[in-house]
Amino acid sequence: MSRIESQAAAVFFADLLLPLRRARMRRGSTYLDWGPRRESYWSPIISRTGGMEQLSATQCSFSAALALLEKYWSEQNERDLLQLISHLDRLYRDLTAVDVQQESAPTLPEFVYPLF
Amino acid sequence: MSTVVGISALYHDSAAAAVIGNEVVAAAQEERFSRRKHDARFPNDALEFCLAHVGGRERVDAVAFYEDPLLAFDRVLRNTIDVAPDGEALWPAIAASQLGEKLPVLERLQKIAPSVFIVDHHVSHMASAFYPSPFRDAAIVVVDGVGEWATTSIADATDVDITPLSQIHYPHSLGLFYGAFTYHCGLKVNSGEYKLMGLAPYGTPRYVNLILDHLIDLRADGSFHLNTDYFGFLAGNRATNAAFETLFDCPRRDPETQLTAVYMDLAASAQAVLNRAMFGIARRALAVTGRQHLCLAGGVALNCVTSGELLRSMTELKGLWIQPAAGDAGGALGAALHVAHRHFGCARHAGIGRIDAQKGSLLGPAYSDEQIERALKEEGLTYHAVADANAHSLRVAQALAEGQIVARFDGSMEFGPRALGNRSILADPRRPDGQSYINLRIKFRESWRPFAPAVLAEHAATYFDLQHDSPYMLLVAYLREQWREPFDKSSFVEGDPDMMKLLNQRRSFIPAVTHIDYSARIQTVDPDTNPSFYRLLQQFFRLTGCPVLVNTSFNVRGEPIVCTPTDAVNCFVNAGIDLLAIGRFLIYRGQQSAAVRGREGSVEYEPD
Repeated sequence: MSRIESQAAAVFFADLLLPLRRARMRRGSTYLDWGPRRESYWSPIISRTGGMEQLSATQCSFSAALALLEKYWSEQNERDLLQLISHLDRLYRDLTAVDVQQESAPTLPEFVYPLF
Repeated sequence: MSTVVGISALYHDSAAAAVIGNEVVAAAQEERFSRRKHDARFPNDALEFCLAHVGGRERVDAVAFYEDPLLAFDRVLRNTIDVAPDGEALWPAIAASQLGEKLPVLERLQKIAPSVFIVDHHVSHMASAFYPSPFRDAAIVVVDGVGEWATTSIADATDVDITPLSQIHYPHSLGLFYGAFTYHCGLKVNSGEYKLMGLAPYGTPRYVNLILDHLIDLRADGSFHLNTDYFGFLAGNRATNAAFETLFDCPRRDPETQLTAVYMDLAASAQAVLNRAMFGIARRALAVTGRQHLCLAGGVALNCVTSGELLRSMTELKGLWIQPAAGDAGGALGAALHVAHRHFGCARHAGIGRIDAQKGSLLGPAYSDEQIERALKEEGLTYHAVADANAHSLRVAQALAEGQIVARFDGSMEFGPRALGNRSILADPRRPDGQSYINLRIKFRESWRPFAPAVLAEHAATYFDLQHDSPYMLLVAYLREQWREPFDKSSFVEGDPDMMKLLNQRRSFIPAVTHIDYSARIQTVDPDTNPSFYRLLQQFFRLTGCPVLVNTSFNVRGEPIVCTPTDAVNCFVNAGIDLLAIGRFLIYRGQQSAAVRGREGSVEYEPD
């Protein structure tokens, strides 16, 4: 990953994700289930598509994919996440438009599975 | 008739599969072609193999991807926000991976076929477990690390309909739970889990209550919840954390150091808790669906100790079928099958009620004798051609009976992590030093790792407490009492770390495949699924009275299982195998030049 790519992502984290986290903390809301013990942990199905989705040729670009994600978040009424859409598009462009040789490979921890 | 290609990629064990109508015609993992173990990159070579098998790209009606990359990103993003500022250092790499590679995968898929389908990760696993099964209806259980959000799913299935019923969501995951113990014991996550399973019988499950009190809440209805205070994977840097180490009063094991009793006990405890959790989920699945058959998939379904335990303990279970490629590779097959059945309207396979449609999982590339001979000549090997198949396998059986180690390369490569006879290293299981000899001298791996027996199906119940066929080596069963021999465990139990004292003691008449607790990961071999491998076992039985062979994958530690004749030759030369039986050819190590024999041990792979 180049320094420019890394900087763009770092700025995204500092300017958008971190304030979002703080705002949500103030509201006492989280996305993951950190909750207390319950009688049952079985939950309804989470699916954006109902299990399967056919995409047309025009729905396979990054912009189209982001539009699908925006539609999903709209349906979920995820206002915080919807604010990120245009910034995600910009971050994608920053990440893919850098025309420089890789300056250093990203340092991945030994255990990276769930987030990568 | 529709042709659908399935793809799994970009997490681990990428793969491609092809389905024509309702028939699975080809499937392979990318690692076999790229020679990079657990290769996660887009499976270009596996895809080319599948495309060639169906007659070219122009014949493909649709391509199916095994996961919804948008929903997976949704989960990663929400996780990142929830744990911030932890994870800040990793975010640039996460963003590059998610935005730079995973979301743009749709554009790559579009180049394969005009019609692109996204199938949810657990639906892909469900389809891989149910559609090829011999059952008209079944409950389905999927358990893995995580896909999009689901880590555990229960579904009801009948004919071509799969109905997901309930899930447990990230971060509460049995795959990540077991992975945390794998990590803590100094083994590699996503590949070392089967080692942890093999290590468990050496230990005592003395931490079970501690785990149940602190790490995981198992409910009576089969659901569960992890206490995330003890895990590090949410911030992406470690599977466990300091609280985990404090709880068990031991640090994470350095992978280069010796395994001591505490790690064996941790392995035994994690395995016991996993068994209990899976039992609850399976029982719940049967109860809510009212079915008597169960299909399993997801990486945790490869834990054959747990699956064997399910069969033994669940009297209400009338049949169990596990997808042989139960991990992410199998998602490629499931995604393709789901689109074939649910979009193109294909009926179930014709073997319903009798046999499965997995074709012995022999779905990978095969090579002609001309291709094989070319590889032998290129390497300058001395070889013999034996045209008669009976004479060929008799000579192999004789070599095995004499105690030689034989590599067998025949027909189509297996799909899934197990070698089932076509890309296998075989040996006489009666050899007293077999386990440690093959581990150390042939496979260059840890001496304590157990080996699996391939047994003639009609003899399996005579030797093992197994009432079901196990053609895919996915069930562990125990040697029957009358075949067991007592051995001295006392010094080891007291803390002596020298496992060789145990391993070189005779535990049965087939010590090389009898684990320390008399268990064995069994492959039953029948004449219909793999006739030539069955014939070899029969000939070995006639020569020796023993219907069992050691069957381990044809590779060395850290190397993917061989795919091509050239891979096979290279591994044969490197690994010190006595005889290579490849196609109709036989290659004896003792007949090779000094230069060839001098290459033994010359290639090392990164330890797995």
